[in-house]
Amino acid sequence: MAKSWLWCLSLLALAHRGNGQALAPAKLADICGSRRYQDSLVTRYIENGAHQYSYNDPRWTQYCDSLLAVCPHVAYAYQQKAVPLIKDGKYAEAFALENRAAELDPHAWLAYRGFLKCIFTKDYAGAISDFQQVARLKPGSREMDHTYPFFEGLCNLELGNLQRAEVNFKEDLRQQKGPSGQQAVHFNTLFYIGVLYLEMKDYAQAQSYLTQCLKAYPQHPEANYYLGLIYQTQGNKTRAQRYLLAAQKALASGYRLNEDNIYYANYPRQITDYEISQALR
Amino acid sequence: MKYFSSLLFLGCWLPACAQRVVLPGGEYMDTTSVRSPACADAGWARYYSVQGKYPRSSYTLAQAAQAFLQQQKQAYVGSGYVTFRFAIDCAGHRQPRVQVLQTTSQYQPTHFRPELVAALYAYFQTLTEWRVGVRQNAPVNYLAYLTFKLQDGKVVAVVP
Repeated sequence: MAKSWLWCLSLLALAHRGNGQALAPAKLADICGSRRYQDSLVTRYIENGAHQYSYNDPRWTQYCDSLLAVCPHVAYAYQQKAVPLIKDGKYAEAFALENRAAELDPHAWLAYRGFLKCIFTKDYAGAISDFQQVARLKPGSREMDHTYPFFEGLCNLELGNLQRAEVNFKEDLRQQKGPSGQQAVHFNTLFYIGVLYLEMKDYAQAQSYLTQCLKAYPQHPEANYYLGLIYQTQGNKTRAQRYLLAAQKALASGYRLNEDNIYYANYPRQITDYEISQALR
Repeated sequence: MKYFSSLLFLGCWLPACAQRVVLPGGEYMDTTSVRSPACADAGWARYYSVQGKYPRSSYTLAQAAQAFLQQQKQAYVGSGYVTFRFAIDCAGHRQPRVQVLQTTSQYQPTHFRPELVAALYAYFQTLTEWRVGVRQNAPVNYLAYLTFKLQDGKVVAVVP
């Protein structure tokens, strides 16, 4: 009996020594700061772990938590853990994680948080603050296919700061056109500038930009709709109806504003068939 | 019979009043779990994988919600977010169990005055045109949410 106890104890001692690969806290804190070590954790726990499942699967969160238990300084793990939460409207949980990610790695996640505030939670003032901060860190960069001034313009448009929005969109145009001034401009930049001038009641400019948007993307439902509204305001019923019906047909055929996140949250000024039907009455 | 009119009045009035229930897993406006039996075997999805956003623009919903609040003739206060999370069954009917989440404008958990949450919930109950979720040609139940962004007691935006 005593022999078997000794044998068990020595096995335990061996197992403990085998586990000795686990690092002492001080050493772990040092190594956690290493980009290489962080990348290896991301490969192990995110790419080969969480990403093997849907983000709505509990294992997604478990893998993120496992990584953070090893090293709580990996911004990407916080951001990934927040993905299902933001899409479920759980803002308190999601933004606690997004804030940590942006704090740890503002180069990677500050603009993304600004995007979430602008498109998901309609926190336009918060989004502007994030985009202005990140523009100082990474001037001329983009988020979700758009320049930072595009999002600032969108936020200012929604806040009713129309003059500021105009300045932002001009800067967006400048950045998109590049040094040659010849590069193509995103159709949604043209669309929102059209909406901006509509808000300013500068109908000629609004028509011009919405028409340019439709040249790039003829089925753009919102560009057709707002152009229809302009013609309605001007008393041109025939043209108004033509564009409103085009908007209705485009939506029914599955055309959308064409932004990656419209499945999760409506973009500003995005419409449904209901608004078109109301305008056609 | 003499109480019939009182009962009828109660019957018409009660659906607008939520049962606020605090459970360890969260706060709910209603915990009744009646389901359409036909949907018991249907699969589950999230609103975004079945185009399940409510068929009105966010602007239309925000305007309507604020108009509804004004009709209550009460002064509301507070800024932040009130979110209702719920399920739509495979026939397009919203299920009674509704979780309520409340945060400040800075996304910190908070509680608004119950009258404000109850008024938003009463407006939310007027939304009856939820889409039927379809996945691989079969109707599915889906989870959805609706958030009211508040500024000084007024609805300024609706998400998603």
